[in-house]
Amino acid sequence: MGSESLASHVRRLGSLDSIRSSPQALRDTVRASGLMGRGGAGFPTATKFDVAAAAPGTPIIVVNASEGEPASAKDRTLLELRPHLILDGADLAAAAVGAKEIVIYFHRAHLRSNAAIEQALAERRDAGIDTSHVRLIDAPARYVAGETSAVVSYLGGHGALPRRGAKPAAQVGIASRPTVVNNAETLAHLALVSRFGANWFSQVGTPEAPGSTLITLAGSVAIPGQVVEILGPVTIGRVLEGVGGLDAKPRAILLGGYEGTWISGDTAWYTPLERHGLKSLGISLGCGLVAVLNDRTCGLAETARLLSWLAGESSGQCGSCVYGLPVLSGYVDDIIAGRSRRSDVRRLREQAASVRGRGACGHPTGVVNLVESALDTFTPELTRHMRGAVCDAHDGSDHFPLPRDAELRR
Amino acid sequence: MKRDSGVVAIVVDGSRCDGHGICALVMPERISLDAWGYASVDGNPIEDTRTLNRAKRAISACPVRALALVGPVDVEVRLRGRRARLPKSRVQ
Repeated sequence: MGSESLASHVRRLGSLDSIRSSPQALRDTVRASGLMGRGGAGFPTATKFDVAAAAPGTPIIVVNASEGEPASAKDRTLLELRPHLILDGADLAAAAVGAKEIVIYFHRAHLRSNAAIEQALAERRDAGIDTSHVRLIDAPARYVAGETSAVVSYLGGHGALPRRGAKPAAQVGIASRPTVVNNAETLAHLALVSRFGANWFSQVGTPEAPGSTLITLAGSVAIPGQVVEILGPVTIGRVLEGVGGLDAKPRAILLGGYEGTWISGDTAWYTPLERHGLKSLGISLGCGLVAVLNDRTCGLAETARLLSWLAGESSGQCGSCVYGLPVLSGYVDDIIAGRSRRSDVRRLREQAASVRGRGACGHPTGVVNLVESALDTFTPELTRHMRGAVCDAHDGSDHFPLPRDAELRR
Repeated sequence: MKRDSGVVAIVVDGSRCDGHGICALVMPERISLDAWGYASVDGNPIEDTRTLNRAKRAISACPVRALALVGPVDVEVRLRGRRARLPKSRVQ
């Protein structure tokens, strides 16, 4: 299965010219479809478009395929296999808000998606489609570099640092121009919604979260990094049995990314894999990561490993993140080394609570989610460690992936 | 700002805060310092004029202008142009 060519793309879905309509009509279709962003926050795409179209200045479209989650693969896979769908989506977004520039923000180091997007642009030029307004920009390999304000900061010529602005990027972004930062999957959906209509789109998914959803399976599954399209109401257990190759409930699942939520396997197995339903349980589907922990691995040791990496991914701007995350990491390291008492765990919870909601971006809060859900989920493991049992965060074969340099630093 | 009441709250920009701690001295009932000395606000709305005035004092006491008031739609509330008038030399 390789990258889809322009000829095959047009044969399958029709050319972009066949669906040109007015900006207002395009935005109305998006509004009617109920399409929500697939980068993690789930913001209504139509609202973003309306804000950008109404704001002063010519808007810019950013295709965010930087996918900073180490275990997530949906955006890079989409870019690799269906580059024309994303390019169509970007052109439609540009038409919807009156933008004349498109930036594709992705990792050149991911060679297959880099080759696919370069080839797709060459095919378009050969077919006489204008691509002079599309720029490819290599994203820094940092966890927070894909956060909207960090993207805007980087493309504006500064570091990829999250900022806390009074106005959203869709209103005031790169060079004070309205900047629509859309996740790559969102734009792929847009390309299909514009072709087949809002009703077609909401035939799958749920009324509250219409459309299909891409998820990535990681950890102890048949194919780590496998991307699955979820069409309708289905439990996590069914997905893991069906495509994950699991025949029994796992120990636990980390849902939504490394700053997501640990859920015990028993609970997760019967939980519907659906953004809106999970939200009502206080769980974010985030970037759609479903990472499976087998019962041979200590969840607290795995948490310690992720935590130590995440603490180092702070952009270094906010004190509560710079000083707070290493402290949380140290507490969890002590737990898995069997050096902690109950009072240390209580202090860990207090410190974690004091970091929640702080800082210019969601990074510290996300780390707190990981820590608190780990303490809630791995209670038996915690008790064993309180009695002095020692775990090593660095052994075991089914670790969740981290970027290679982080592994080498250890 | 036109109204002196309504849904207004203090926010702290963690990326600006350097932990001087003056705000917590001026307004200890709403602003505290965390374990590392950085300002942490309670996020509750400010409902009366007295609290609002104290909040304004805390905000203008910050040497790095890390604090701000936000209005009902998360828009920064102007303090009668005070932000704009602060001389550059006072910004660390």
